Amino acid sequence: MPTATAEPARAEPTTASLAEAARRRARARALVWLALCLAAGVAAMAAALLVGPAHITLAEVAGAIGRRLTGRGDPANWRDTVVVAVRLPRALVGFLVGGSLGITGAALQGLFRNPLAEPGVLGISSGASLGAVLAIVFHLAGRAVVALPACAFLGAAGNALLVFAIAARSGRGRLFTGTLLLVGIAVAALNISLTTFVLSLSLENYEVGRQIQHWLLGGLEGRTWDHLLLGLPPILVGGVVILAYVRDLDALMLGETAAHSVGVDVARTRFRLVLATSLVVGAAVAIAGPIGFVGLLVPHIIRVGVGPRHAALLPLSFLCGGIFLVLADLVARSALATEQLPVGVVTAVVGAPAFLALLVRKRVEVTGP
Amino acid sequence: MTMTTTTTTAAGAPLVLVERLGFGYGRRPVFADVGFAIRPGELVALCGPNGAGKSTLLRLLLGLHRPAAGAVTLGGAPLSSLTRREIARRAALLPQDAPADLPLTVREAVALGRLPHLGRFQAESAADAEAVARALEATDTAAFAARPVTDLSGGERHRVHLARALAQEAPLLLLDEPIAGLDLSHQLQALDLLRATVDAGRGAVVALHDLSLAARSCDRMLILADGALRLDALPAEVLTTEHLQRYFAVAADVRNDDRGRPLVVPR
Repeated sequence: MPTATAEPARAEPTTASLAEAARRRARARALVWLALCLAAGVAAMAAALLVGPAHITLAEVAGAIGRRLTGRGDPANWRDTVVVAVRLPRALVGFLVGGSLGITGAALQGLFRNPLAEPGVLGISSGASLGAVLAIVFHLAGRAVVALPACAFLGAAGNALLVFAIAARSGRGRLFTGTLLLVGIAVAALNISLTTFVLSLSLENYEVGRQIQHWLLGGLEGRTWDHLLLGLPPILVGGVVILAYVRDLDALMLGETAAHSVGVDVARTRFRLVLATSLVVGAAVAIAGPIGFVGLLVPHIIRVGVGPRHAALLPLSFLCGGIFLVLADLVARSALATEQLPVGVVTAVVGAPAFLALLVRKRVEVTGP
Repeated sequence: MTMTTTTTTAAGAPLVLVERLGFGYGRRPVFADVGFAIRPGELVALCGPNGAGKSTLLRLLLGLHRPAAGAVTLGGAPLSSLTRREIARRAALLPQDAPADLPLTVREAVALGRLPHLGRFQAESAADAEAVARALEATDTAAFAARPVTDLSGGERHRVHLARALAQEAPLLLLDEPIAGLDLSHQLQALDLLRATVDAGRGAVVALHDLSLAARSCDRMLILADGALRLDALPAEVLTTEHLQRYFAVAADVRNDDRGRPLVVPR
């Protein structure tokens, strides 16, 4: 075996190659996270299909889905029905809703350069709730199946734009994030009290009152393929619009003026992203009710893992938000023997302490004027 | 009162042409009837007392305010006819308020300068990577390209933001007080870097407070004061005791250094 007598002149690592190596490391880290999230997503889905009051094995789950896909479904087989008509749509709706909340939280935090921005904080979720409740009260929801999500979107977008306009006016055209959040909190409080007001008026009509109360509790109980098909188109459209702005969101980290300088039309970007997030949140709220903390918590965890760049942050926030809600729903429906918890209770119980822990560890820096 | 001197070094079509430009915030006028042109190879200082509207003028050149009167022509086209991305390919602005807590690495921050050249779902090409590498090289920031911007000193951070503007490959650079907050050595470094950049074929307008440093590095000086562009001339013509008294309310002598460059010496 030949031995090297003279050390061959090793090429000095150039600064360019150092930067290239760092880029490759960042990309590798994002890919590792993506792989982990995909694996966790598959595992969460499998768990959601396996766990429940009826004992169904993994082989039976696979068989049921396989028979369904090949069109040889057996309506008499109750196990097939439980898997394909109950557990699978419920898990998919949960994934879609959780993903929607995750990606919109990440987008809003980037858009307003504020780690506390979230659909709930900016009045978007509560506006969607109010719109949905009004749709139920005026019997629109019973007439057309798209009425509920459409009204939720109108409520979400209307409130988001209202918050936005008031904040911009008080800043004389400039948008201060502190003002924006305070206005959002005020408008959210108004939305919630209006929703309560509408609910108290409608309690006389037992059926409507029960329907609203049930819906306001939120959750994924009894969600079907219809819910999935109703939510999917607006969430897809809004999600693609949001993903089209990943680089603009990165540029906003430079500050508004510098973002303008590199070619970002900040006002137009804000307007379009607020509408897109309203579309996504409106659809998510319409099919699962108000669910908190997913949009706040998930992007922070992803940011700690893969950094702040939105090209990785947004898709991973969708995946992780979906996984989080599927698992939270698993807990919600199996924690108590007799009763199902609303999934929003679980996300709050897990989300609030975790978020506080993140804050205390100074992983989240509250900055901005 | 406006004095105009055509410089001999400048050639070619103007990168920016400003004609009878006026602007006010609400009813409060900031300035009126401002006119000048910047050509490739020109480094022009924009000076004036606080509140004269230097930052506002730079923002107007980028189309961030709507002018009350007059017109800006950027690279031969009226500013109002250009999209934000088209503007970004013609002019790059270094604002005063660059965030110190930018959580990106140096290379990521500089690569944002490529945004106006990229489509929405388009990945960075080899040409973009080369432009970024050139900008890092020119600003001497390549050595810490992989470090987060938050780790850098003020002087290094300034170079990173300049590198972002260079990566943008816009022929016109607009800089709003780029050397404020730097020590003298870093101020000189920053201005020399800017001088070298301009000598390589770009044009630049730089808002500066230090008149002697402006005279040392710049080809021309614009004096914006009392709501109008008062002077547009060579540094030696701009810096006189009379002008300093009139536009800056400062009693000062102007001496020449060993190389014949004017120095402002307050009395």
